[in-house]
Amino acid sequence: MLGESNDHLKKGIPFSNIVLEKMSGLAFRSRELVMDIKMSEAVKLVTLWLIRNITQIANNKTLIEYESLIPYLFDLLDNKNSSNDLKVEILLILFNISDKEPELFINYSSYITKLIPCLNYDKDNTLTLITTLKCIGNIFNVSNTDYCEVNITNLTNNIN
Amino acid sequence: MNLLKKLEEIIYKLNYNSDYKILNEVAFVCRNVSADSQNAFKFVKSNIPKLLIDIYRESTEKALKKEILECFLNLLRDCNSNITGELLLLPTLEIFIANIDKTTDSPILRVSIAGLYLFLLYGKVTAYKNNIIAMEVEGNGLVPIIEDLFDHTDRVICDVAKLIIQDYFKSEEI
Repeated sequence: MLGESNDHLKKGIPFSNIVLEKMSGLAFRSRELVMDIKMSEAVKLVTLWLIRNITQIANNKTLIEYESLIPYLFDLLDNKNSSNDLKVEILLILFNISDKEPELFINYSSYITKLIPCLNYDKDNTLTLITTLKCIGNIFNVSNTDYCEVNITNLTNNIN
Repeated sequence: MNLLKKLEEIIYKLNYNSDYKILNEVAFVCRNVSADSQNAFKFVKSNIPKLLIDIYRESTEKALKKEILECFLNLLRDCNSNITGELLLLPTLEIFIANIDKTTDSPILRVSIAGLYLFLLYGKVTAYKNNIIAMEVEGNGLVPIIEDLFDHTDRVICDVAKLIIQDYFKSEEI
């Protein structure tokens, strides 16, 4: 059961150095597994849980392995048959990736609309709402990098 | 865009100041939406900027206040495309000016002085520019407060303060 604290977003499984080295391969396998249409929801849920933890500690090389998974995750999120548990895992994965490698979302900014239905305020489970807001903010951020940072030096250069 | 309606709905449900963590994330999204020229117009036309002004006034959370100020700054940057609502301009200017003081938290001061600079810079807000300059004539003393920032430890604040005085209040080199 997910709690309300942001600490959940920071916690990860303490993978060993060997696992860390093989992370890229693990990312590849987990991606294939979750995209396999023959897999049951239970298998997908466990795999997504693994991916969530991988993306929490992954480096750039590993995260790139997940780029092709992004549209699939959005579709899964948008699917009426997906359970809430599955959606929560997907949101956490999307947050982890968008927070570390937002550039991977450049081609998927229009997918933000698929996140909007997750913006439901429930005081007993604010984590989902916060995670969704963070994802949306991160994805908007990457498509507007020229604007969003307060860079006064640039402002002053414009007039000089 | 449904996103704006959803954000508005969340702010209402949160009753403004009840959950700082969520409000901060809402403000983060608002800041980035306001930076997107395709959505900025709809954003200004929504109720969200007015709600953000109320939240800003009631909140004591510095991080939240900074997100909201950056959101206003993004909207102000689009003044040259004439999207910033008139109703939004005066409260925004008042908030920026109220923060221009050495005792203000540095990130908030940075955004505020950049905001004041934009007000002075853009022709579309000439009325407000005249208001600011009239304040000096009436002796409300914005100039001494800005001049007081010339030796600020934050170099950017210091430079922008000098530019404001040099470009809009005095012609000679500082």
